[in-house]
Amino acid sequence: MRSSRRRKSTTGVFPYLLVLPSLLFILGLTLYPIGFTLFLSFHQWNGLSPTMKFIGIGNFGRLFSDPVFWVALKNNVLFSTLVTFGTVIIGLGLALILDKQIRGWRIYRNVYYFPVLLTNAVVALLWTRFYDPYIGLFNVFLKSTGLDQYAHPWLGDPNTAMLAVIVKEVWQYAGFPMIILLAGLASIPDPYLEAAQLDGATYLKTVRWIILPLLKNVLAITIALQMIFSFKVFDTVWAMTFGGPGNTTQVLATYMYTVSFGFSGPPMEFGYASCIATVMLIIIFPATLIYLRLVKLGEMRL
Amino acid sequence: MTKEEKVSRRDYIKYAGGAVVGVAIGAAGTYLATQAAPAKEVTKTITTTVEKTAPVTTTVQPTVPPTKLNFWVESGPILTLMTHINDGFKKRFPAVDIAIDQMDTTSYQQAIFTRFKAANAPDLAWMWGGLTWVPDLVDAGLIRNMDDYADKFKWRDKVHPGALAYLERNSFFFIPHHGVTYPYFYYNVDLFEKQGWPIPTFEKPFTIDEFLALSKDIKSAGYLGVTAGGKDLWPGEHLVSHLIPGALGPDKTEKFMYAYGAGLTKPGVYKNAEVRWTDPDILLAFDELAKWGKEVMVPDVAALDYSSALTLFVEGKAAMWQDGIWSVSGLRTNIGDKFKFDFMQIPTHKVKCIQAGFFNGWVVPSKTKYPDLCAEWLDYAYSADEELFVGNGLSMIPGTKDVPAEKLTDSFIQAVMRQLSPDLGYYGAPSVFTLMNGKLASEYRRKAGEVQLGLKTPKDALNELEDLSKRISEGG
Amino acid sequence: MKNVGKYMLHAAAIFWAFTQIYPIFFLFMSSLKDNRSIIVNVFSPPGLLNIHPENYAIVWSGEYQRITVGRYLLNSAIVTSVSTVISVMIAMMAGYALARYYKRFFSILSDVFLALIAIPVHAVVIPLFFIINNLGLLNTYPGLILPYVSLALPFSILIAKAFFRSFPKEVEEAARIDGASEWSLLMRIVFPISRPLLAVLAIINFPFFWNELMFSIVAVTSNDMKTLPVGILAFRGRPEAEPRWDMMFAGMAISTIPLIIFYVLFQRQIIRGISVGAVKA
Repeated sequence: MRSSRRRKSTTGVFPYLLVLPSLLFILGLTLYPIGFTLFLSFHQWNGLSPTMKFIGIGNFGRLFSDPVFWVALKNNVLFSTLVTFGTVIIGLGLALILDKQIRGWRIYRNVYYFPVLLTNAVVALLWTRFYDPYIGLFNVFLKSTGLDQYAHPWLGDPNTAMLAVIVKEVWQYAGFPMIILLAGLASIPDPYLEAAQLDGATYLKTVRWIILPLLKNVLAITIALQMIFSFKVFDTVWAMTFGGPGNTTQVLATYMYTVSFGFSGPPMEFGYASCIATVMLIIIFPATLIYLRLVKLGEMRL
Repeated sequence: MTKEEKVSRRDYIKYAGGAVVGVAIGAAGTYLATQAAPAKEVTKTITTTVEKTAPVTTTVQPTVPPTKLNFWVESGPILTLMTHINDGFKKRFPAVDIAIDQMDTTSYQQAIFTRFKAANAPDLAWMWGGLTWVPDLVDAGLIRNMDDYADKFKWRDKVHPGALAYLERNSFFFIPHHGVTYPYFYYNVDLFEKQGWPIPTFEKPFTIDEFLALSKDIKSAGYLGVTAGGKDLWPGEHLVSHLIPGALGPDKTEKFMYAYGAGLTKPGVYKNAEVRWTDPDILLAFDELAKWGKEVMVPDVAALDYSSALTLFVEGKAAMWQDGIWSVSGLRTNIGDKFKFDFMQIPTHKVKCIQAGFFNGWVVPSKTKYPDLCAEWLDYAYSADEELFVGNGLSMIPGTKDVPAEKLTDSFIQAVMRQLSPDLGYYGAPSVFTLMNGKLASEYRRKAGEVQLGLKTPKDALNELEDLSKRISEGG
Repeated sequence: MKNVGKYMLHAAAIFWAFTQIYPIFFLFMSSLKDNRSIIVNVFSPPGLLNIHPENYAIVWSGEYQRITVGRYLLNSAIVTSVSTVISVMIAMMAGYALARYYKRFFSILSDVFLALIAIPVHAVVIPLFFIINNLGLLNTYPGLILPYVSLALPFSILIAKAFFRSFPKEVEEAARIDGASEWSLLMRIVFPISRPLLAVLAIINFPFFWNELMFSIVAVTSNDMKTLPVGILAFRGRPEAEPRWDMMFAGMAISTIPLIIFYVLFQRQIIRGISVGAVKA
């Protein structure tokens, strides 16, 4: 340590030079935009005129009484929760199966993870085709096996649209929690499991009483991470339904986009959209801090 | 980390670099190779000198530094139109060359939005008619008032009278031209004849009851009714925009259009409006929209995007297809020889009307350096010659008056022109959507979609629209 | 009893593998069919005489509705590679600095980066759009690359920092005693041994850049600059378009191929990187 104090003066400007590029990027393209978003939330601006009209908390007030915002918020929470629930449960199941290391488990593992990498928009588009009421995979299959009454306009019926989107998301991303949980499972020492088996415990009991408690940390991290990821959803919903029919599948990100760039032309309301973005920030920011806190705790215990 | 692992990682990184470079080269090579073959749509970018001379001149002008005009257009048949106009224009102004940038709708909106105030603004841009874009652009000072040229070239006399309603603040900020377009129901003639269903004519169109009876027959024969693409976005609006004038009649429609259109933000107009959203005739129209959503339209219309919907009609599963006159050429291509198709009037309650769609046109951004050349071009576009291309090439009705009907050879255009003749008694209603206040129009469209899908009752939708109108009129 | 259990495990594993693979298989199969067969024979493979690889060529070169998947692929490749390279370089430099040099400022900076991980794209999309527009970089490669880099930096820097922290210091101290300058220390000793870090960063960032949609949909709208995800959305049934499902499937198939290649090459590293990266920040 003594030597490092002396070294501090000899390293001079160098460390700052190393950090400089990152600083420039962050200052100009992250921090400044965040500030600008917050600033815009209190204004009204259509993007065309040279002036922005200050309206204080007008946007927030409007948000409060905007039924579409509440639908979007509800959908977002629903989406986030169900996707997390689905992917983590399936992921856990898969991880448990893979942990048994049956023949070919590595291949299975790689196959299961693959869809996670695929472009969200492409997979969403593919699933839109699957859900097509007349020529889509699902309905054609149902009709051909005589289960006609189950054939449904999955994406067109407001009651099923959000769920249909969620199914696609779970399908694509189940592999992600699986990988993390697999790593967690691998770190459980064998003696624990062997001891349980010797005591005559069934597999399910082992899972419940030994594996899950030991996995608590990793599970918490996985759940938190997945909730945060899925809360930010945009691509999937936008590609599959545009937020429709009506506004029934809007989520916060798509609503923000609809209000600003949308595709129905003016009025483009950047102030209002920034307000929605600010609300998202208010929700996601603390959630991520919690996730980081969990990770720190996890690190200490591992 | 053993040595072997390090080595194999290095190999992987080499492979990675190789793969990325390979893909990039492959993509670049193929792309460049295909660029060698001319694309179907052509953008001309030859630069030559521009001479500011009259079309016929014997004196030689000193050359001006090389420039080119840059025009913008949205995707679709508009490019064909403008290319034709360019060809004719070039004969008169050989030294002027025009490069056309074509973009799809979203890109176009964004381009207007970002580049009109930039250095690379175009000299002239195609624009949707109505109150959605133009007023904002005018307020931001981004487009040029062409009244000076309008007076010089006497455009007010050349333009179709209906188009004059589209002039922003009664000035040629927006220069209307082609494309009075009408929504219709297309139908599968072969299917109708085979099933023995009644076929209306323009002389004797369906009444609402007859149409509902037809829809019932179609359903019981096992076919789908009217299919429409665009999910829940615009088919509902097109329909109800037709039903509203059909229920209100000319007088009430004009009053309604003004109060909730250009007049909405003028002081006192909204307060004294004689016809409101909550008018019983408008409720009648919306109720019909909701009913058709259940009984007439294909059951899952909200799940169908344009391709899915069109597929149903083309494959003969749906008996009818809702769209506008602009889709005739597309339909001809898609249907080909499969069956004969025709179009029928959308039925209305009280008054036979044609819902005149968008009068589209052009704007000249303020940043242009060549307003005079643009004006020459626009004037040429108004000349009767061009209309031959306009009408036939685009399946759209010419936007300038006095085009002799016999010069338009497309059978569909002729049918529409026939429908426009006064002896048939159709009221040519202005477009409810495009002439409505911008903010209100977007909500109107959304509400129409929701009502058609049964997501909202007509009463609720109309009340919400009324509330919104009130807010907008008060400056909200 | 045990055998039944094993049998069920296998069955479950195969079942899920089937659900994961079948859609992709269906995609490729349909992409080789012609339009009518897609509509009429949804499940059957294309007849041996009825295979249409030219769907790929048509969609690649823009003959269908001016959708040039080839060009989109090129754009994505360029933007993704350059963004990855730049962000990895910058992140490694900054990560090293934060790990090794103990300065008050740096620990504040570390906290800032940590907090910035929490910032989603959405919070900055609108301002970024206007900033990029004012710089005249809309519809250009830098217009995408610069924001992408700044979006990726916080997470990458923290991973780099954790990585360098876990290094034993003896090698560097030895080099310093031998009189090496800081710069050559970095270049000759530290970086060559940090290939694993480079791999992890590249692998984590590459898919993020490749698949990014929210900002690119706004920043690149001109047809020859679109990235793949943006371009693919163009298949979503535009008015006046012939509905051509074969084209759509072919376009989607082409988009998945680079990722398949990427995955086949780097499976091991990817899976390792994810398990490490998510748990360790």
